[in-house]
Amino acid sequence: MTRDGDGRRILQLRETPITTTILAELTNALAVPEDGAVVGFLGRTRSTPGSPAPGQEAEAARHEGRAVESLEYEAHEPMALATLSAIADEIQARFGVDRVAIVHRTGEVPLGEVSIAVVAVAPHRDAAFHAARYAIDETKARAPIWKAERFADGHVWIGHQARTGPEEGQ
Amino acid sequence: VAIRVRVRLFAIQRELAGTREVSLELPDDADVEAAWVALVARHPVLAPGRPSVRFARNGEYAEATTGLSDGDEVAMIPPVSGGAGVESGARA
Repeated sequence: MTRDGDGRRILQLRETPITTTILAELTNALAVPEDGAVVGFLGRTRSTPGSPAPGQEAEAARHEGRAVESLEYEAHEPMALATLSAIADEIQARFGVDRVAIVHRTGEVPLGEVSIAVVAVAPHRDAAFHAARYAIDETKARAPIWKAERFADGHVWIGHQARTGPEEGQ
Repeated sequence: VAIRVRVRLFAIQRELAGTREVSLELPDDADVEAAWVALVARHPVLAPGRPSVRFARNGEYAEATTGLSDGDEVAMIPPVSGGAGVESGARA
């Protein structure tokens, strides 16, 4: 696990598999004696298709009714890591939580595996829940990470126009 | 006077253009939009993506009107895996 300078953030993109034990690993790496709350989130690759990206509707229709066979993730890595760092800064400013992990898989990910893990650790649960929710929502909306659903004879890029910063008024 | 910028393409745009990277020569007062226009002139297949693309200059999101300098990296950012869709609150 790589951490930033203060030793309390773990922000990572990795090509190697993530298993559910990552929740224990991240908790143990982040928590200090004052922490009474840990909130973890795992995103898994699933068989049911998501929303096709604009322009991919016809390709998605071609695969309608079929199960997704695997997922493929691609990232602009330095920009994605910088985006995760900005999100961690915002979590500290908004919720006072400075022990956060966001780990995202890249490359081909078979069905049922973990594609993203988020852990937020804080003295009390309200802040930890808010921090974890913000981390996953903002990562999905803003990080330059792309997802394709692979079918037997083709693939479909998924998603929506990126949001370029925090939502106004938050 | 001209500047040279490196345009990076990802995901659907990388596939449509058939390349990860394009080097462009632009006027020295060029902005990000000028880079997009020059890119589309070379790869017209990308043109329909304009309404949903975002731009980044040197690793940070930028506006279409952001000015460019010699040696800049411009990344074209097609729709991302979550994105700001209206139903985003209900998606995993």
